[in-house]
Amino acid sequence: MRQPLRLDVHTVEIDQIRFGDHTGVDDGALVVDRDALAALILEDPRIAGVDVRIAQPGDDIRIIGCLDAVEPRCKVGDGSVFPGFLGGMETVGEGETLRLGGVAVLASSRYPQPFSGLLQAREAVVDMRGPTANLSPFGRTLNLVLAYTPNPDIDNEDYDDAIRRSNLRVAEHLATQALDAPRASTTTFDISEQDPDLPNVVYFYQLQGQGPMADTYLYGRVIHNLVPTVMHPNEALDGAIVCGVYVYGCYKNVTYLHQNNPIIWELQRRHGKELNFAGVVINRGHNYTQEDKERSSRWAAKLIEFLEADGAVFTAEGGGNSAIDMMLAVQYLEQAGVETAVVSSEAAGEDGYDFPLFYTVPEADAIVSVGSEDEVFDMPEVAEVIGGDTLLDGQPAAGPYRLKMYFQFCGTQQVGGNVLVGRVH
Amino acid sequence: MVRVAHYINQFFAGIGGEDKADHPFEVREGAVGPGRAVEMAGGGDVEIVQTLVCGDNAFHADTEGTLAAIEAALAESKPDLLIAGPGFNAGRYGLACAAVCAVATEKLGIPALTGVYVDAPAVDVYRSRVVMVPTGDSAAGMKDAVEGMLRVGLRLAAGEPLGPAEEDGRIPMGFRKAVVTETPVAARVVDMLMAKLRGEPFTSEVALPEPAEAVPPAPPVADLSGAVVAVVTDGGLVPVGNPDGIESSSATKWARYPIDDLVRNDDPSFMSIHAGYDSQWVDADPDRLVPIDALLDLEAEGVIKEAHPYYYVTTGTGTTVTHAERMGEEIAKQLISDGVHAVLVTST
Repeated sequence: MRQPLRLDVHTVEIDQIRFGDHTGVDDGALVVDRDALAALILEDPRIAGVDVRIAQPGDDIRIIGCLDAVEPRCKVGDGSVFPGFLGGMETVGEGETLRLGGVAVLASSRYPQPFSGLLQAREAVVDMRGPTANLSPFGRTLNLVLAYTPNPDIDNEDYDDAIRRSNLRVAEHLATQALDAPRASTTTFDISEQDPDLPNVVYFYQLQGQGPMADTYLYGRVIHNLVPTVMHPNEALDGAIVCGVYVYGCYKNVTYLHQNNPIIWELQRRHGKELNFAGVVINRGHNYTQEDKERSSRWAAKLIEFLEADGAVFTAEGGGNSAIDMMLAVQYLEQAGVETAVVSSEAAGEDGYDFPLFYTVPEADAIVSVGSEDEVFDMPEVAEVIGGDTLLDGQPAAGPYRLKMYFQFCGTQQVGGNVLVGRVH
Repeated sequence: MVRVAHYINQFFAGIGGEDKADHPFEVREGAVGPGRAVEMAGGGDVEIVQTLVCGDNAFHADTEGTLAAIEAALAESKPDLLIAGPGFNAGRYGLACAAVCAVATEKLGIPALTGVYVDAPAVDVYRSRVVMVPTGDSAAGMKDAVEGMLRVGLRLAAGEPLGPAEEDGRIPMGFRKAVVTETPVAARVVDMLMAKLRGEPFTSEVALPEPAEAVPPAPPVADLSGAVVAVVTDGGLVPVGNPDGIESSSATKWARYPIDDLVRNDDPSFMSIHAGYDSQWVDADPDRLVPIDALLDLEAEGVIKEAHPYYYVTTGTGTTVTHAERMGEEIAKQLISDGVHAVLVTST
């Protein structure tokens, strides 16, 4: 398949964030005009208030109620990132994009109305120092935290839309203020040349699509009715995939991780050397019925075969439900002679003695672990909490207490931003 | 100086072989037999403060009494570490070594370990509870065994946590725990795929399970008109307020609630607390999950004899196999003792 998009990603490396009287990059520091940024955010009447805060590695800070994290990016020249949300409905992944390396815009909020059942944002926590700072990728980033207060008169889905658009807008705005800043590096993403002597590798990229508070957006639309589709990896880097998954703190693939998807970076890095990066197939996870799962996974496997794959790398988002969708596709492809390797979280019980996978097929013989949702960690007392005083279960957020991985923000996300691996002890 | 208590049998204490296996439990001061090798391997940093000696038959003839005596001896000497054996491939001796370690750690909180051959009977029985270092199958491997045990033992005595079994040089206890790795996920998964594509060896970070135990379907109910029928669901339907505190995910609890309350559905009213599906339609009409309306119609029509007065519920999302099996057994026993003949299981 011809996949001609070429994207140059320019990195402005940031080593700290601080507040100042203007917004821009000053000798490696991202300077933020706090009041001006708050005024920009509060243009949306659905947001009643915003506390703009800085949380950087080493700070004695815990962030609670984490929702999405977004890397500041913008297009250089015409166009916009986050198609379907900002700018028009254009195809992204081409041209030049600028990123603020090391920075995350991190949203924290509670919702205006009570939740029931699945449709709720559950607790998600980031520690910025101490032994628990390595649980979340965002214990290692320079975070501009937007702690929002909702307009109490609107419903949860409307508020959710407001903060999503706000995060994306702030992220793009910050990057546009750095267009003239010195660039540390430029990385070219281009898979248009394929070497017939190298094996073709496709990325099976499964996204959660389950309902409000558990949805992913593709070009601004939820993926409920998605038939598996081919996309160019560069599209993800320009914000074609936006996260709206807030149900499981540890599992979500936040927007920052789609923009920086480590699997895409790795396959691009090896492209033309060891392998041909032959494309990306998007699959919806959390299809509701077994028939829907089989239909979707068969379709995704078929597309991967159409891309003439010799092998495929698999990632998913979520726990047992999504594991079924992914593992079915593994089975179909292995049976068709395509080799597979899978990234999976574990659920081995608090003591670690349970069998760690929710669902397996005998063909899934190459599995990379990112740790277990069930492992429990000692959260130290911290000096400062951003996002409120109490966890959703009512206990004081400053600690100390023990907290399951389940509630660690992106603690077992499966696209590869973490440093933990589950091992037999 | 690390103070070590050491457990050995009559043979390694130099008392005698099988003919002396009835030698009663005794405590000796200082190092005896392999204890000297332990002290030597410790290079002056390790002192055997007491040696616990028991004949293999005597130990197993009165396991409880011997272990109580050992517990008392350890409580008094308060060592930093207990080393048992090594037991190599011995059956009775290896089991005794592991049992002594279990008492030290579980009852007294004293770090303890033994050394055994990987196929020794003690491994099957105690591997999940006792730290074990692999040894050769006979005393010819004493030097290596003692050095391996001491390497792990000194870390335990210093209060360091266990690492992955492979890196520690231990027989795996079988529990999984996360550790920090330098190699990124993306590099590992692409490396693994490339190895598969090249036909090279690779090691999955999660080994595939033994195939799950097959559950044969129950035979059809011979006579529905004589059957009491209950509903069991993993869909998380509970009275508002969740009085039994069933977890929204990774459940460890189940409960049962009167179907009369559900039929009235006024006070208390019901909702699903399940964290794994969109439950708004169940909340609007719980019969969609727990079809009591249809069941009562069938009862009225005489198709079934009776709807069981309770429905049973847990949440099935992220539940570990261990808890799922336990809850299933508990619910089944309750149903059987209540005279239920048939069950409708609704899942989500």
